[in-house]
Amino acid sequence: MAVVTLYLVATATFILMHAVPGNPLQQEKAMSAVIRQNLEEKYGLNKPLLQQYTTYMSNMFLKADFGISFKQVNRPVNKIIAEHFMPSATLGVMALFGALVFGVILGVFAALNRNGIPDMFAMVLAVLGVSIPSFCLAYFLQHIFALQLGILPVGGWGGFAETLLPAMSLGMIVMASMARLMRSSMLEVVQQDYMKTAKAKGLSRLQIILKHQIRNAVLPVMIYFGPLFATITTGSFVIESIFGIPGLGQFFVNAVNELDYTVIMGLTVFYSGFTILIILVNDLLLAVVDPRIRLA
Amino acid sequence: MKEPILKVRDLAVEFATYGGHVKAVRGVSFDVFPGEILSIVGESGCGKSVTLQTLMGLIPCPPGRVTSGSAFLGDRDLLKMSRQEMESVRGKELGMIFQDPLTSLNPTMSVGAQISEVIIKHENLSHKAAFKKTVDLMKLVQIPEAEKRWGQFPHEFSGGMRQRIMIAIALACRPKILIADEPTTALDVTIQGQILELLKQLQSEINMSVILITHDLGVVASVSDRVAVMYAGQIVESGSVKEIFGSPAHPYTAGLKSAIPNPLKTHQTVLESIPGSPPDLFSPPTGCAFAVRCKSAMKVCLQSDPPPMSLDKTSLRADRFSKCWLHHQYAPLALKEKALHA
Ligand SMILES: Nc1ncnc2c1ncn2[C@@H]1O[C@H](COP(=O)(O)OP(=O)(O)OP(=O)(O)O)[C@@H](O)[C@H]1O
Ligand SMILES: [Mg+2]
Repeated sequence: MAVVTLYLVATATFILMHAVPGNPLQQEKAMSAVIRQNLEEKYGLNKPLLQQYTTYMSNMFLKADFGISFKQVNRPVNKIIAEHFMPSATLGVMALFGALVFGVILGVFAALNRNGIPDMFAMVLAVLGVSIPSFCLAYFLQHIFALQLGILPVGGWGGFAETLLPAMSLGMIVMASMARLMRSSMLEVVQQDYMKTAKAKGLSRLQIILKHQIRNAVLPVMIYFGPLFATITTGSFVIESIFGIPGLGQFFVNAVNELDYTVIMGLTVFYSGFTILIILVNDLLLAVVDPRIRLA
Repeated sequence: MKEPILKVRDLAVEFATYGGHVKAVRGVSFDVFPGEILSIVGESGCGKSVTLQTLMGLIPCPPGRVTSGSAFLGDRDLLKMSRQEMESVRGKELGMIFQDPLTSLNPTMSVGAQISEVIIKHENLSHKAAFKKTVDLMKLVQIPEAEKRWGQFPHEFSGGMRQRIMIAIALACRPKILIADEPTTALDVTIQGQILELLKQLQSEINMSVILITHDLGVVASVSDRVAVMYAGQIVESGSVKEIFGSPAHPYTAGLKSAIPNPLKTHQTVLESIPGSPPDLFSPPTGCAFAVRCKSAMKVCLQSDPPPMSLDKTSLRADRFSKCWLHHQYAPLALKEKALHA
């Protein structure tokens, strides 16, 4: 399943990429015919498209080789990924994890104080979180925490402090949607018959909330967790450039601008693979926490 | 006469809704004696569940509100207890089982954990001792391979087995009273019999009292000692099973009884039913709530609500009464004969 999905993604990217006018060797500077021919030969661009496709696909899927960048001389795409994946991954994981923890807490808090002031506050925050684009939020946070208060760095990469603002900008949307989901899920669980049973057992309010309500309410939230990961990764390209983080995002943006075929392909396939992996892990986790889901 | 263990007096509950206040329970009084099975019958919406959930403190407030009444369990009023006191009574002195055992069990918790949770809460046992006790309870309610099934989840059990789990939860701390709200309605007929049989057997083993809510008069006749018939938020007749079925004293009870299909009357083609529908509980009538549907309604029935009239000639029993003007000395005897011996 996962491999088929990956294959389809790769093929679609390949077709779209070649459908865009222009090619990687186009430059402002005129190129002599001989040089051009040599280059085309080196990268295999002179071969028929179908052959390019099969060579590329077989290299990728059989040897896990994404080829060499067209623009950054002699730099293999695999190496780009290896060197720049960590910052992106760290950022993504922090944003996602923070979003899950704070989103769930906010949702629980809102649901338990339904229609009260805390609920209103949490939901306004959640609506803001969903509706403000991450790059606006990024500038806003930079302004407040870095420029006005001066407690966090404006950008850069290195220690823990540098990760906070980008992770917040990135995770806010996810956190907000998790909070809303968690709230409605909590309110739905309250209506369930087993909550009455729990009360009839003489359990305390806290025991009921922790063992019966939250435990069941978190399941629908987890279902969305994997897919939301995709949101995070696409958002991260913008955020990385705002905060000057040496992640994969910049390579993606540049590669698309310059039609650097191998880099576009490599990163797309890599990210799809990673997303699929996360969703898979998420499903496995879901099966652990929800006994009704059988592992097929 | 034995002393009742539960004395409910003049209980009234209403719900605030956008349509107004629903007066779901309007002045209900009854006693529960040690070791008996009391059935509460009546058509849908008459307030059976609300009455008993109020005793357990399970009515959501708001929208619900207890407007009057008391419910003494021994010398303590359930309706005036603090939250902590109530928590120590629920699951320990009062157990409850519900209609649908699937939705009443937590889907993500193993059944064993759901049973031992009550024991740990009320009996201060170690987890190991609670495990052992849970297994014993599962055996008591006749779940085969109890040790193995301890860790399984509700969806892995059949409907009847799930209701057995619910019974185990309710009986875990040997309560004085078990409240069973339509425990067999969601089960198929063969299983219904088994569950009732089990309840009756456990009831005499533990020597607890059972309050059984049901629509099924067949069930009432086969298991209960005493019966209370509810209509529109009130108990309209109460008595022993024999009295209720042998000599119903309220036209509504008589109607319910004749609505039981009789398998011996082969020519009977139409099921008898009581025409009309229950009154609007937003603004209940000033007279008898059943009057508009009653074939023997008199003038007085529409004007004022009948008080419970004792039918016990010795007047020693408070639980044999009918809330019907036909039992008043001024009611025409012929009408009474016709209404109740149809
Ligand atoms: N939470 C609530 N809010 C508003 N009205 C309620 C609520 N709970 C119960 N009621 C009303 O109280 C009345 C009595 O309901 P109850 O559930 O006690 O009926 P019942 O006799 O148990 O019926 P059934 O046999 O269908 O279970 C109904 O008219 C119902 O509409
Ligand atoms: Mg009911």
